Amino acid sequence: MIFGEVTLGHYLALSSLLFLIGLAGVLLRRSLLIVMMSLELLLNAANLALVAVGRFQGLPDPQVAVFFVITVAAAEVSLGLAILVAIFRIQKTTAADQLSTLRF
Amino acid sequence: MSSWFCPEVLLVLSGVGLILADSFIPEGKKGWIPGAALLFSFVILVFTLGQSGQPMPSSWQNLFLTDGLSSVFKPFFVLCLLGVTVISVRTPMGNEERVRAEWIALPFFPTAGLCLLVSAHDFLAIFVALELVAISLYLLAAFHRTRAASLEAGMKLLVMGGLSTGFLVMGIAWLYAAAGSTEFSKILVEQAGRPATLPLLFAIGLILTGLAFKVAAVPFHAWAPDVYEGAPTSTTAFLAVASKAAGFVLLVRIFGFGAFALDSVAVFYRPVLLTLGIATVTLGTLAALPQRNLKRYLAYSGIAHAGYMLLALGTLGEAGMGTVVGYLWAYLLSTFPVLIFIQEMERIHGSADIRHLEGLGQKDRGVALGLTLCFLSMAGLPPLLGFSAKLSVFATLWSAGEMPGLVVGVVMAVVGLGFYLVPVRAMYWEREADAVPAQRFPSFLVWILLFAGLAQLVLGLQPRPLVRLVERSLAPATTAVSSEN
Repeated sequence: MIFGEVTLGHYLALSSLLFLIGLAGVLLRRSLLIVMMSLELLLNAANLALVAVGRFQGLPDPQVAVFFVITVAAAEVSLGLAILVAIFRIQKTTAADQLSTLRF
Repeated sequence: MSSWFCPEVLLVLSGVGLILADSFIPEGKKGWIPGAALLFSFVILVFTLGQSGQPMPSSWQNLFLTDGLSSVFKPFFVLCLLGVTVISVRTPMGNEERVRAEWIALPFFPTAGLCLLVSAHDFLAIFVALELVAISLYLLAAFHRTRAASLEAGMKLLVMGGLSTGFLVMGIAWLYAAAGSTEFSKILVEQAGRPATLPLLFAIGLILTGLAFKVAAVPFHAWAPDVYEGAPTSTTAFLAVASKAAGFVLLVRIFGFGAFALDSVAVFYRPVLLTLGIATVTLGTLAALPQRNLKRYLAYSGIAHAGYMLLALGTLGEAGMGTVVGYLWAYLLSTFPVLIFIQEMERIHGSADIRHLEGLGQKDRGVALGLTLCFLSMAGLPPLLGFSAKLSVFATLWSAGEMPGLVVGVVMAVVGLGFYLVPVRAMYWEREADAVPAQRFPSFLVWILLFAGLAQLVLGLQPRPLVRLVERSLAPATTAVSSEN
């Protein structure tokens, strides 16, 4: 392999990269659906880091923590989609910059 | 299971009970549900107050631990719930009247989450409790599904809350990598006396970012004004007071005595916290000046208050932690009555614009007097409680030798007088606007406002009870060390 043996550092680098992609998506994208996908990406980046740390340090706790995160993420996204549907019914769009009822 | 878990269990049972009652009781016989919700929250408050003096064991392998700090803040959150229930009972639901019971029952769940949050002793427990609070609040913010402003507030809260969750979970992952555990006492014991490693500092930074969203500290404050304005008033009250307070209790616990109360961490994070505090005070105060909507105004006022608390917290000494605890109670007493007033104002006038206050001084003396005392206490005028709170922030900064923070804090307190006097001026010096409905405010509102105003006056003159409360909050956990796992 080009990179030699895969170490914890590789996993953490990959998870940081995913985290940055998710962050950029939340901050820059205009569609609320993509923003919510990016939020999921943030949490999955953290999940990858948790699993890798658990595996390499021989700890069970972080791997259990992943289940908590997955459950919470599912609850969050289901609520988010419900709000999104309600918004679409009123505004006929899911673009973030159309959400401008509240402006000073 | 030991008895200390009671407020949380009672809160969840009450919430579930109310929702079940709503499903099984036929239409037309549900008139007693709001009354029952008020009664439940009052009984739980009495119960929590009665319990808060007793020493209590830890449970679930040190995931949750009751110490002075949590026993002082559980009554705080249940008191917030009582206020929120008063507001939600008075909320006009329009064509969503049939879901009123759900609307009233839902705040019980985030309150339970907050009570768990302040006794959490492990970052994983913090994560779960924080999400219980956050997800319930997304729902509460977006509850008026036919109003675009409410939905927009819910969506903004969800995106910002999701972002803060992402930072928090990433921080937890790095904390496992750096310290091998997320339990506060284990991290503290393991890392004591060692130089802080880079991964540990990175983990703390991520966790701090996550919490900075929750307390609306600059530069993570942008969601607050929009969400406060768009959300239903009871949700605004919950976010502005209870959720912000929980963020600060967590910061006090983490940096004051919990996981990161380490000298090696303090060297790095003391300037960070102080800089956050300076930025937050400045922006909160200056951006509040041109606001015309009372809810946005309170949002910026809350940001400024968060800045003062961050300044006190940033000194990372015991005095700073005590100051934050006292400041939070002062904040509750001055801000919550105004939010209950805003609900009544929205009922009568349909919006929370400051110009609806005009002429209130002549029309409704009791309400105007109570509101004035609350605003002056927020401004920090002697002899009100807000003055003692701000003074102790400045005293903490002075004795810690933090001159930049002290100077900015004092200057902004003086500038703040200008914007806290805006509503007072509207009430007493402006003529009543033309087409004002002749409706009067209900008498319970007058009593709440006058009681809160009087409490702030008395506590400002004689802060002894609050000082005792602060001293109790800093008492260490009775069984932190000797608990059997």
